[in-house]
Amino acid sequence: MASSTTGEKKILTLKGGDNEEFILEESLVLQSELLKNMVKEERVSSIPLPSIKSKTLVKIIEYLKKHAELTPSNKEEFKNFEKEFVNVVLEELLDITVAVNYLKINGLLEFCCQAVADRIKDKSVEAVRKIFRIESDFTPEEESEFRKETPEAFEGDLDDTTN
Amino acid sequence: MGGLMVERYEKLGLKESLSRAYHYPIACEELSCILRNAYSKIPKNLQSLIFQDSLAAFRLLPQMQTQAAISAANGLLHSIEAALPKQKKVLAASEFKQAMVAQRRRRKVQPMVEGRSQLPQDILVHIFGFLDLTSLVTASLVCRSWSVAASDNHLWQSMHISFFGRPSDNPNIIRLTYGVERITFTPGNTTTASVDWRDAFKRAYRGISRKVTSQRGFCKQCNSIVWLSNSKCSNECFGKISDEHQIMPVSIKQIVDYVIEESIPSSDSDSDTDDSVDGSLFKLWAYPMRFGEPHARCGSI
Repeated sequence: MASSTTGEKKILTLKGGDNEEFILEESLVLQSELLKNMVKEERVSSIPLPSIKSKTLVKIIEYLKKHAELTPSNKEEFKNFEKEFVNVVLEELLDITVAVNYLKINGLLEFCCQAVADRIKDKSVEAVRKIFRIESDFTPEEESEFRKETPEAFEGDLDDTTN
Repeated sequence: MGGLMVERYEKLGLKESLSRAYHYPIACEELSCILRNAYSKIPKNLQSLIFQDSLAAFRLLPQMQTQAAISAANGLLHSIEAALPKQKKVLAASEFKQAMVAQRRRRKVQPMVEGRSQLPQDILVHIFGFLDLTSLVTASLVCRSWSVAASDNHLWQSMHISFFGRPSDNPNIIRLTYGVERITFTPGNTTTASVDWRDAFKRAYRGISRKVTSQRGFCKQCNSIVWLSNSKCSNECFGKISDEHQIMPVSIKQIVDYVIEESIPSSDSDSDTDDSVDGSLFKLWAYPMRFGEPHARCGSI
């Protein structure tokens, strides 16, 4: 299967998990190491990405486009865009991070991981559990040992769970 | 010759690794890489062995409730489609389809077993790389899977460096590091692992302990690729990481070369150039290059 071309620009179709299709220039997806390899090795024109929700894919494509337009003169604007980009509910941010890790878009991965880390920083253990909706799977003995060893990690405002 | 190849492949222990949730994604990626780079060069019996393991990977998928597992299986399917003859491709595709259906059904039956945020270990470690000491300790107390990720040796090595500087910068640390190393090199004292950075940090700072890391390494002692667990050779042959480089971190490419040619990974073979040619390589030792430049890594591709 050869890549279809319109004019000089190669066009590629990405298929999200809910079968929604996204048509974009091949040059854009080259920022993803994974897709770059697929395009180079297999000369495909359509790539199914069943593990990535369309909503997530929309965000990622938005980033790829912005990043492709990045020049020294609009650096500030891009920074603001990045800030807004990760200003989403945690669940969405995690979906994006996992997808970006899979697609191997290195710069964006760093940025997403930093954003997730920012939501862990300076919070108590209980607050982090609440934010990330994680149930402790430690035994009660372990749990009380932690509390004895590092009480400061369990102190702090439980209501500090905005996001 | 072919028999040896099979033997080396079996030493990788992919079949067993697939059944462990935390090794599943990496095992799939290794299978993928072997399929892509070497399938046509290997003897028939090994080809069928690898094919069977790939099918086994798909059958195990429903048990893996992580996004990373689905991604990895999906990648494996892509490699199968690129490398295998038609008949096998069809068989694998239908196995994958069934697995995905079963996976989804299972997810419906027991929704969110561990909350919404079962992040894969590699991503967790990456995220934790951006945390300060207090937050890293907090993260390690959240749940078991976070605890494992937050004990990553490299995280603590860079934490150690950021607190106490590189060994040569600080006389105290020289003593500490030498102390640890001396213990390591003392013959007979086999119970002490090489530098456990979390432990070293703890001694220097007084923190908490609990250590696990899991990746792939080449153990010179038992001449095979092993899972690094707790910085030791998982074959329990007493080989230890960075103890005279008994166990060396290896890339997937090196694993493939090992199976095909028994080329023994050497630490000075420049895997970086390989990586840029074949970006599908998974950098097993993905974090050490960050040391000393904690701010240089944000925002640029």
